[in-house]
Amino acid sequence: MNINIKIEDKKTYEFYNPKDTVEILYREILKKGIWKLNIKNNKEEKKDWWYESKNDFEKNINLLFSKFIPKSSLRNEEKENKDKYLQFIISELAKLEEKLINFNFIKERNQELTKILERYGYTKLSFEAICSWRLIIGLGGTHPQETSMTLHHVYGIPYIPGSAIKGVTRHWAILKFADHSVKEENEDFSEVLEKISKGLEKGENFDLTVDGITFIDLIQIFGTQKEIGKVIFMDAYPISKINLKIDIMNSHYPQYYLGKEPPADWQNPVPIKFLTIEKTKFQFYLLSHNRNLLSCAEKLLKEALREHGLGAKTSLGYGTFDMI
Amino acid sequence: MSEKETIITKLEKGRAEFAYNCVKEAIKFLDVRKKKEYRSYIRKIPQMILSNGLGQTLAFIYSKKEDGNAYDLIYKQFINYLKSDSPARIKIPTNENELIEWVISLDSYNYRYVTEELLAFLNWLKRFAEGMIEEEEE
Repeated sequence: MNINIKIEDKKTYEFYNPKDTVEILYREILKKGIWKLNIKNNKEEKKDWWYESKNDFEKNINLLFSKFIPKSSLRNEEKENKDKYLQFIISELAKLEEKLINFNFIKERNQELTKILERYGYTKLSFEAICSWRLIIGLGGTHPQETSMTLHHVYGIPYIPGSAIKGVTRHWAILKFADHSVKEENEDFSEVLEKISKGLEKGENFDLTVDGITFIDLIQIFGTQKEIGKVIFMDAYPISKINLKIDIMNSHYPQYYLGKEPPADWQNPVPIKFLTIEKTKFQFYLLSHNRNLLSCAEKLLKEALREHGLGAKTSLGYGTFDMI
Repeated sequence: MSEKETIITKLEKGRAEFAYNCVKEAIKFLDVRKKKEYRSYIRKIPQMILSNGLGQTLAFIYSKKEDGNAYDLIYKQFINYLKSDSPARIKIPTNENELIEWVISLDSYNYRYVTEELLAFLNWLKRFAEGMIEEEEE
């Protein structure tokens, strides 16, 4: 009763884009509010509000996320704005997902691509993994809202870049080999870590074998400045429904982290919201001419995904995967 | 061909000179901590313009600027640059002092010009800031 859904006036939200673009954006992105009649003073009051878009126009989520950020120009709504805008991104992605039937075309394209490479003598290895809790990649990227997320430039969906997959595998391999050689030689861990990391970079051989993987295998898998790696790490795309969730980090001692004051309980926490991917299945592809290197890389990658985690905030349990 | 080159060199020299003076200004007026911030912000801004657009970036700088901090100086220097003789293609009207307001009042065509112009300027600003302000040593 007495509830009214209104399309809010253009003046209540702004875009920082060129004038002609803004005109288009105002037509596509609407701000709507729920207004309720207060019987006591017979005035309408705003209860809630959100951003909404017209259904007949597919939007690139990446552009929406990075370039078309609407900002509420009403003082009391400003704090909520980021939350509403992230919700808008989530609902737009869900709409697009429904329309494009779970982005099946991307899965098919990747299969085609790997088939072509197989024709040229590559061996393909693929497996599926589901992130056991939450995953955030590219949190530290530049973004006016200060927390970012890597979205595909063309498809606009979250994905895991091949560089991130290769990077975490390499990092895991270095940790693993350093751990092994510390146990054998009783040296300082950080020194050994640096030695092995430099060795892998320059392609110097240490006479090490861990779990049947030799150091030469590592050099060949990842490559050096002079020679390219012999295993291809492909981008990983989601193959199940993409669950985007709004997450929050809350610095309790903001002044302390700015280096201005000692940590104390009278400082107000500052909640910062960001996007994460939750319990979503991804398809990983590895390709190589050499079957032995391929299985070594697979072993290392699976371990890294299970034990170390991908992306940001891995120390808090983000980004770990279960193999299927 | 040679004439075209001279125009480009002239332009780039103008930008370089302006950027050099801007960094000198920053060194003179900012304290040690803010100088380092200036350096790191200048390094960060071009990337932000490319991934998020000029309007969003300026809105971000605008929201962060407070009297006398590094973002404030950067914002002012952008306005001064766009008012000077250095930019080739587009200039901000002399009575306009809110860069962000002006930028979002442009159409896409001119918006792109301003973006290109500021990126070209930042290219020099970045070089001088990196060279003239020392990196944190710890």
